[in-house]
Amino acid sequence: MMFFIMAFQEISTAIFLYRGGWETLPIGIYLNWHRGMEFGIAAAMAFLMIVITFILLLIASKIGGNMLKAAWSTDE
Amino acid sequence: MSRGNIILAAFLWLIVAFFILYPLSILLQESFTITGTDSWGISNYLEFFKDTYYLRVLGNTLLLSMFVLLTTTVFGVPLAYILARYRHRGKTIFTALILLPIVLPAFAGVFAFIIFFGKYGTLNLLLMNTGLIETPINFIYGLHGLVFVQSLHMLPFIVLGLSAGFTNIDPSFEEAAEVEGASGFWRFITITLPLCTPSYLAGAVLVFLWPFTDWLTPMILGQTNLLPSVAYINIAYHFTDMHRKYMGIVAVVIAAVFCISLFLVARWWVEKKKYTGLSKGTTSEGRVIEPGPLLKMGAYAYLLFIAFIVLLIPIVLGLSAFSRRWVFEPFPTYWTLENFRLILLESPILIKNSFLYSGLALVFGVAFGLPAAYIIARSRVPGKDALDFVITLMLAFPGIAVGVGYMLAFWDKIPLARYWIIMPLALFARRLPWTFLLRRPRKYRARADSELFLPYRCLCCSRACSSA
Amino acid sequence: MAFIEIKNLLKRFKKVVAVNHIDLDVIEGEMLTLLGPSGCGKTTTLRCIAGLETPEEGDIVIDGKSMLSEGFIHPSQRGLGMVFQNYAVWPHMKVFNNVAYGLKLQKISRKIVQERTQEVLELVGLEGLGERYPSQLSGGQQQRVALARALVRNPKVLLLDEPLSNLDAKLRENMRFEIKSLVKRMGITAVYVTHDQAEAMVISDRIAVMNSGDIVQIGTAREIYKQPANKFVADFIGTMNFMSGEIVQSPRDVDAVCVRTEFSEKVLCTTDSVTEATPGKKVYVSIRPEDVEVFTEPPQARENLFKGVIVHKAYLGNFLYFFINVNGTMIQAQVPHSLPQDEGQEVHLFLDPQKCMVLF
Ligand SMILES: Nc1ncnc2c1ncn2[C@@H]1O[C@H](COP(=O)(O)OP(=O)(O)O)[C@@H](O)[C@H]1O
Ligand SMILES: [Mg+2]
Repeated sequence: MMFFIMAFQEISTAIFLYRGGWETLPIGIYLNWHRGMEFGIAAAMAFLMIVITFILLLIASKIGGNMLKAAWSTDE
Repeated sequence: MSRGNIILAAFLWLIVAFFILYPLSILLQESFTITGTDSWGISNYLEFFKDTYYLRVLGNTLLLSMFVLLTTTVFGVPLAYILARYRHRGKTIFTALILLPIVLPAFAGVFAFIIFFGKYGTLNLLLMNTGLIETPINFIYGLHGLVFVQSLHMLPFIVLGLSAGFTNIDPSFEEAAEVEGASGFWRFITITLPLCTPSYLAGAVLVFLWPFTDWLTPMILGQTNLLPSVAYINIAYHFTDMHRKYMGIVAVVIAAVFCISLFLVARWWVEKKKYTGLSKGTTSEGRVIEPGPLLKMGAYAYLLFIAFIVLLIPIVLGLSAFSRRWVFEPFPTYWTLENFRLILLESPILIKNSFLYSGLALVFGVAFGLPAAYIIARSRVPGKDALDFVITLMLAFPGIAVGVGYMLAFWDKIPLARYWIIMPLALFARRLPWTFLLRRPRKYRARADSELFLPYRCLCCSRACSSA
Repeated sequence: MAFIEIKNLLKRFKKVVAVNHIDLDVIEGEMLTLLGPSGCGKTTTLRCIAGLETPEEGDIVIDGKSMLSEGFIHPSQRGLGMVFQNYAVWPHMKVFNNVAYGLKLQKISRKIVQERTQEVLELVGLEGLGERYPSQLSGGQQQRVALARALVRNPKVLLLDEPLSNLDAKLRENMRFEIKSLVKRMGITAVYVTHDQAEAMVISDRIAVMNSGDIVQIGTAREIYKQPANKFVADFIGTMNFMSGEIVQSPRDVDAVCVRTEFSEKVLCTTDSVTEATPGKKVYVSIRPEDVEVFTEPPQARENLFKGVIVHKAYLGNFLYFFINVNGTMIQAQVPHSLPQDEGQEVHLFLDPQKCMVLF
């Protein structure tokens, strides 16, 4: 689960490789900031990511113990 | 030793070679390429170490590392001590909050703090409204802001390491010091802290490496003369200027080499000095103390303070996400779902991509991780330790190096980067050690001495090197 | 004169009563051992003396000064020396610094610290090892570092918690005498904790036997061996034959307690050990194996003479050891001379009434 979350948040690898149509959320955030200082959308995306992360953690914690454990347990 | 195992190991090696060693070797090779020629040489490196600009960049990065380490240490030691040793209510919730930055993307923090602490951010506006200040204070743009954001992001690593240390060192060490006449602070300085150095160091090395990895935060905060940002700018913005590009690659390689060497040194040192594995020689289980009321209040206030700052991230982002044109006002006034509508309407592809790539990367990860764990833990195939070592090293590898390596390696000769599959592949390679750890914790847990350190380190490293 | 007085000490861990209202006086200069099975509260008692545990009730007075009733005195203010079970030698400090740690905290010149530390290191046989790290020392040497550290400030009281339990047997036996002579030479009052009865008997002036939080008996090694206060003590110290039975009315002319047991209607026991010989009371007739006399022919004694069959016979160097079945009761005997009988053959046992104790 942690693996998925980290892949989900990854930007520094992806930023060199993406092309039109392959953007991910972190890249979208970066581009929004970079292009127009449009914080609203960037913030909304970042917030969306946090929410998704939490939902994922929640799912993980339902499967295996409490939320904290899910956050850094290396088990699936 | 079965034939199947050997074939499996060979296959894993092939994957590692193709997806990790090959791109990295291309990266290394490019860094030695002399501009405009096909010949190789160390001239790029010579230039790097002669140019005062690059040297200053390197110096800045080191300086930033030290500041970040200092800040996290100063704030982390009391925090870890409170969490590990004081008996208080709400321990779990505070721990969860303080460790929250681990699961938040680093850029979330920067955005939130810019909105809150920025020039016309909430805090400045509030202060100006109450008449405490005339002109806005620059809280966030600049080195101090960078130190603040990066420190907050890395604080959990220090806290995790130290509180593990505080909980795990044998209480009799401290009791012996008490009986010998040392009380309170002196005992803490001479006995408790030194005994925690290995676990502290495990976290500290990651904290120290973070400024060598994180290029995005400095860029957002307008501090571009740091090694990873310089590398990024050189490579991403100067495609036409081949020489600058090579210098950027050199910067990447230097950052990567630095990270790996420091990581290895720290690992070696920690392996050498382990105090926590020693047997317990007393009846009391750990030292949990009931602090005096004043101390308790202080501890609570401190915990609340840190928790507040951490919580600012999701709260501010949330406020900002649901509002429109939130500028020049301390709090948003106009609520809307417009932002989300825009995201969903114009770029649902982003969300789809994110899930698709991460999901695929996870599939690759499991497909690689299970046999890898099996080979390393169970079989006796020759070279499996080397495999283990290479994969572990990836923990300390900056993401930017992987990205650049992939970009260079899979463009011309092997044109993998022209297809979208490169994205999940890169994410997978980046997280290789993690996939491989998916099934390993049990083995680690079985080895008592590693219990504290390894899973935690793996977590830390992989997080730390995620570089946003 | 009591140098350490423990009065009515009570220490609980949640619901577990680790130390149950004990009273104990340690005389100046004596070496007193707390002896008992694991989990009986020895360590907890010792830690209360050191100030590492705060008891719920009672008081501890050391050298005339109360440690609890006039406000809790912190361990660092008590000026005691303590050797921990796991030594607790600080792994990040060199031997010299480990030992000198307590001295450096006092306001003494560095030269004196240096001299005193060297002196103590020599005393415990660690001269020349001051610059080593504890991890470079053997278990026995680490133990000596812990001892040196505890002795360096010339404490009036030395507390030792199973200091020898982590050493191998041979070393352990030598160290017993070494510690004893060292402590005696320095005239320190010492409280020593162990679960090893042989160690306790070698090392201590007096032994306090503990059982589940209580002190059952205090006395010299001889007293505790010869006149155990109850079955627990007798069982814990050395080997003892216990034969359960019930007190019966003794005949007028005999100055002994009469017990009916499973193997005999009447066993006579010494009156020394009994306070109240109420008939009908369930007791144990107890006798040490070495006090059981074994004969080929019935000897000239009228009472406490029994016939039995040898079940096991073992040659143990300077004596023979028997397990003898007497009407279904197994009795162990240790005989200093040889006997012709072998396993399965009949012998005669004499249980000297003067040596048969009645225990509860
Ligand atoms: N810190 C503690 N917390 C809970 N129970 C304890 C603690 N220390 C000791 N005990 C309990 O108190 C009793 C006495 O322990 P201890 O004094 O260590 O015995 P000994 O040293 O004689 O083996 C045991 O039942 C033990 O489980
Ligand atoms: Mg004990």
